[in-house]
Amino acid sequence: MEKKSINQKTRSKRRFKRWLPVFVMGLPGFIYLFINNYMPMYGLIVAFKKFNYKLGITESPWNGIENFKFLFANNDAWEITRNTILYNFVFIILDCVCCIALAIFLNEIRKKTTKKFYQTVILLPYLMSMVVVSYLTYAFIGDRTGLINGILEFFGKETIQFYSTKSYWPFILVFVRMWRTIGYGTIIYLSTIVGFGDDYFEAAELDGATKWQQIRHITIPLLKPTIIMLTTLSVGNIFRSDFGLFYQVPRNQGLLYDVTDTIDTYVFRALMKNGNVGLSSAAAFYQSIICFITILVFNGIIRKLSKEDSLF
Amino acid sequence: MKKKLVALLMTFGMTVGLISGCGGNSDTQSKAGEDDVYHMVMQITTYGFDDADLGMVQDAVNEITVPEIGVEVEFMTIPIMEQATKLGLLVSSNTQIDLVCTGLLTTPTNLVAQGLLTDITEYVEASDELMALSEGILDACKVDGKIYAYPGATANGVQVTYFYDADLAEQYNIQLPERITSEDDWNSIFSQVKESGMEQYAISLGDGVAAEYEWNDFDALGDAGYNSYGVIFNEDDKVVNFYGTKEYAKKCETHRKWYQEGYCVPDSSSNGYTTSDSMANGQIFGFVSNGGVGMSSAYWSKITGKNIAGIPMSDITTTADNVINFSWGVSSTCENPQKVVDFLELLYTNVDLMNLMNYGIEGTHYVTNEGSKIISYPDGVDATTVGYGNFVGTYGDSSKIYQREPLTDEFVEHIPDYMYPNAATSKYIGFTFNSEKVSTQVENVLAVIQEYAPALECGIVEPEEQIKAFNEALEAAGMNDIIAECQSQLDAWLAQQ
Repeated sequence: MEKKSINQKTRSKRRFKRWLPVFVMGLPGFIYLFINNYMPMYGLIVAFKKFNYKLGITESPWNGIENFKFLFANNDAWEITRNTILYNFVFIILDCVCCIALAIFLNEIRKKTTKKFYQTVILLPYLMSMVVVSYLTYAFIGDRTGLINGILEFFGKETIQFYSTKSYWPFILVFVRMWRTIGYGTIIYLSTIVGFGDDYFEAAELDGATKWQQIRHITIPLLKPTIIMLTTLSVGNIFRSDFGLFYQVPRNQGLLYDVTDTIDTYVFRALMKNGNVGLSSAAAFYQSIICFITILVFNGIIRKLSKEDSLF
Repeated sequence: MKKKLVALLMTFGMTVGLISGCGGNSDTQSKAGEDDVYHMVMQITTYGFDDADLGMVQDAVNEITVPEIGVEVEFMTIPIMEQATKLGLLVSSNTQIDLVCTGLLTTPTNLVAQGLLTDITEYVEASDELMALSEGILDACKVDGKIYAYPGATANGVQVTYFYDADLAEQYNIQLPERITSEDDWNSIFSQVKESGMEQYAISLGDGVAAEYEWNDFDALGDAGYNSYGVIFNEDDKVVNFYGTKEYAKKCETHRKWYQEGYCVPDSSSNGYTTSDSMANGQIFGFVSNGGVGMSSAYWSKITGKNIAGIPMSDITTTADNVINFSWGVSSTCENPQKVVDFLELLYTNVDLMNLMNYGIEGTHYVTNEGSKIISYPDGVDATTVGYGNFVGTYGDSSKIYQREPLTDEFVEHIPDYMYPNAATSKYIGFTFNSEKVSTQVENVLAVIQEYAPALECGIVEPEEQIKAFNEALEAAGMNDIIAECQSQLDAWLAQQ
């Protein structure tokens, strides 16, 4: 009995010694993670306080859930939640479909320089600031100076007032968002596809499989873990929205809020004037909690369906 | 599961540890000043870039202030876009800031609620000069009966004015009235502009978010621009929802007409240009704004680079919103409020200091003219190349300082008209609405206003239905609660007077 425990001790000691360099190597990463992601969490208590700059975070008086009431005490609560979730839902689906399709197409391009060229071109919009994107959009659909209205005018057609017509905006926003981010998603899928190796495809070709069959029965099944991982990550953000996209691109037009207002833009607008830190932290805290729950639920579902593909 | 629980507990433990470790301000370092000179940091609100000669002016200021009152001034420039948030960051990071602007995008009430200002009642009341200069208007700077700010300008009266490009008016021979009082006056100007063949629009209604109003016979009770607290027309002590009034409906209809007639820039709400931007880039003939001593045609000429003249549309009036617009306050982390108020006193009594702060150094940034209070740029320097003057607001007593061309000595003689008691001062100037009890409603009402008001005020939509929907949304967001609360606070205040 005793002998065994001593053995165990020395063994764990030895094991510790053996892995020590690895731990040391990982240390900076852990410290970074701790400082960057965990230390700021104490700021969450601001959401439950009547924040006063002079007193600071700790000393400010508590005010319970008073700050959270603002989020729900308005008619728009439903509208902004619906917009946020629906847009994100569409983005997740389209991200998946478009990026995979594009990655497969790109992979089929044989000439290396051409491939590199396309890759760069589709990635370029991703590197642009949303403010620039907003002006690019404006250059196309501006009421008076926009390209589209210029063409319509040239042909003697009536111009379209994009910035005061709601019905166009779901399409414009989805288009702009896809145009901007598709390159990034494509590269992730492409790098996975490149890593598959040619053996499968060569074998399939020998068996007389068509391109479509290869895609359906080899590429997609092999991509499944990547798809699930990326989707899970996006689902984790379903309650947040790309602030730049929804605030800059519609140029903050009141008439369009029905279809362009999301939780983030609403909070920004409502709090911009009075700069109430407590209310904005409450909003962020609420979003984080909901996102945390959705990611747990989604992962739970995946785990039920196929255990090896779940993230955790 | 157990592991997760442990992890969760550990995270919680760490968080608690952090909370206890991070609280409290670290001991402030005592500034080892020579003798008794207090080093004071003063906010200079800019339009986004720093003046080249700011340091030169700062040195010149210190040559006056150090021997006079023992205060060494350091300028800290803050772009106006950051003005609302920067003070909070400075105070919470314990960076020294003493004299701050409490107006523009903020209000003293708001800053006090966030714990950012020091009560300066005893210091201001001890200064006879400061008390005399702010007679009748100082009440606007009080929060709960204590002085937290000091009016920035002494001539706070404003007059709603149609500012126009005088060169264009001459070129196209536009006949303009002395004063705009009726819709006919507008139509006459606008139709002339349209028919004259100039490529400019007659007016821009801006982005509508902070629309300038064509009249100012109401008091917005501390929320000018949004009017979310309700307004009072004609000083009848009744707080009403501005957006439900006949006056508002009429304004929207007029703007709709202008839009349909093609008098105003049709895409002003989405093109990203403010009214003065549109003026500067030659898109419009004129725009409406508050005019006053600080916002005179000379100011607009400087901003837009055009030769601007103005037609008044209203009498000169002063409300609390005008008084606090450029007001000064002392930050809550200031170590020596007495010295800061001493500086304020000097700023409002020492004419050299005022002119220096407003216009820079004589000979370098401006030259005086014999027997006149009007200054000009030195040879080879103009509004775009001058090394000083890019700040928002005005320093010191407006009636004592020089004025810039194209203003005339005649205008200078009329400056007292903009001051208390000549300018019609609002009855409610000492009343500040404490929105704390209805803060949830205020935030939501603000969101609604930003949704509906811009399109209505830019004339993009048919007013009738839209105003109805607007008011329904306002009601749902709790406008009536705010009005009721504001009314009861006002009644209590009136009873005290």
